[in-house]
Amino acid sequence: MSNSILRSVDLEAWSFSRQVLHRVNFNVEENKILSVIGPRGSGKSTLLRCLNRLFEEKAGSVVSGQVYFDGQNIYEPQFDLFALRRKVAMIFSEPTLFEHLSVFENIALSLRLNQVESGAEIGVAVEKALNKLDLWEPLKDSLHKSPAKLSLGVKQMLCLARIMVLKPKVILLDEPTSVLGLQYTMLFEQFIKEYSKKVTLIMTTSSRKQAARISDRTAFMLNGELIEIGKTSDLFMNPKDHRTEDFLTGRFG
Amino acid sequence: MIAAQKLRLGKGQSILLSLYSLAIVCALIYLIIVILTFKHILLEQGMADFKTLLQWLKSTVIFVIPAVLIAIPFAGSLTFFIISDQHPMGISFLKSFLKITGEFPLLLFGLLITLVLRATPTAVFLIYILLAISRLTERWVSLLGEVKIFHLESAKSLGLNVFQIIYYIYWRRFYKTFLYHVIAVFFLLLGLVTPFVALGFFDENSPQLIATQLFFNLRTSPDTLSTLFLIIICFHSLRLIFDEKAKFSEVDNV
Repeated sequence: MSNSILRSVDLEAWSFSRQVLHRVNFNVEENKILSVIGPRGSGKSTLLRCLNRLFEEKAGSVVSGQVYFDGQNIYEPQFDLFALRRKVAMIFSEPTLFEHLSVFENIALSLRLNQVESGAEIGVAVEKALNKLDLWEPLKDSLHKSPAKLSLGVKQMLCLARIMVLKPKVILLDEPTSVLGLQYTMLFEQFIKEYSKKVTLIMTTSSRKQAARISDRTAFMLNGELIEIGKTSDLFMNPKDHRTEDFLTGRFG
Repeated sequence: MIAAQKLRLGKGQSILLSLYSLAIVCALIYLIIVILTFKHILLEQGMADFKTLLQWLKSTVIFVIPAVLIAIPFAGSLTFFIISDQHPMGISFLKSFLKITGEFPLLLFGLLITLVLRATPTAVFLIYILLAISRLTERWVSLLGEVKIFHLESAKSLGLNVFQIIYYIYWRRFYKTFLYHVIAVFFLLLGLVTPFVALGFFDENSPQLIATQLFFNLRTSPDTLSTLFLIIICFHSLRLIFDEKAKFSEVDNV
């Protein structure tokens, strides 16, 4: 596929002796949203973590197969892991801000990783990132305070701001709205829909409706296998595999 | 090492695992020796030598038992901590394990050797040092465990390298606690060591004699006040280490 930014070939993963991914082959198109759905324990989060090599950080984990990012296999030994993780960034299900650093420092940290060292430049970039998420006005007087007491929704949006200044090509979202209320879920979805014009997004979600609402393509996983992947409308309206149909119609999961 | 390879542990983790495995083996060997000695003296030489047994226990128990008491729980819990990786159960298990096995037996042991075996102040101080080490280790394992759960994966996902993680995640988070503990330990050691130095610790060979001198000195020497003052500093440092309210790490620095 000409506009594919990520491609996995025979991707398999083990956690200790248990195989958690079975020969996963798929393409991710550039500047689209791909949702990964499936019941709990189906391997969705493992798949995401294999795409930025975070899975292998866990004790007892083994990965085999290839993942091509911009045409290069990220599992080659000489591949720059730190650069990869800035280009294939990640948002977790719960906000993971560093609460011992201030709001400003959390975002500035990412800027420093992108070699932005000048104080003035950092200040402008932080304001710009917060403005994009409509957070500048509510937070401009609390920039140098800890984010510990902010609401989960604002924290998650700040995680997004922290990622945005890294200027990633792909963002992995691991059930990013699972702890958010309705208001912030809608804001979050609205923002990533808009942002997907510039960045590729791969999102796991336990909500079939959310996948149907915002994604261009959807993949269904079960017991570590990628059962089916296709255009969201096709997968929801005409699933090819009976297991996909069973899941979508609520027979299990 | 084979277990470490199977678990895909890092170099540091493997060394730690090996060291603590070794500690377990040493502790077990020591226990076997104790049991065999008991058997030998009681069964083969009769009860007449019971005093010898007590003497032998008294001379070794002060130094070895605390080490064993520390080695076993630390070995077990740290191994569990390493294996369980990011599982919160590992952390809470470790915390309670250290609390129960690390402190109370040491405290009881301290009382035991002080009262029953008429132990010297040297042994009591030794117990308190071990207690402080146990407490500090528990605190640091708990703090580092929090980082492991909440921050490390996030930091790695941002592409922070090892030095950036050390600075932004560990140093920025813990430098106040760290400095505070260093100061407390410094005063603790100062408080403990100075009286021994003043009493000519380095000129004497017998710990028993030094302890007697210290005891004697506390009662009669004109240096009593200064010695007492240093001991007060020492116990004040201990109190600081044990004071749960003094958690610098939880104070917001922004």
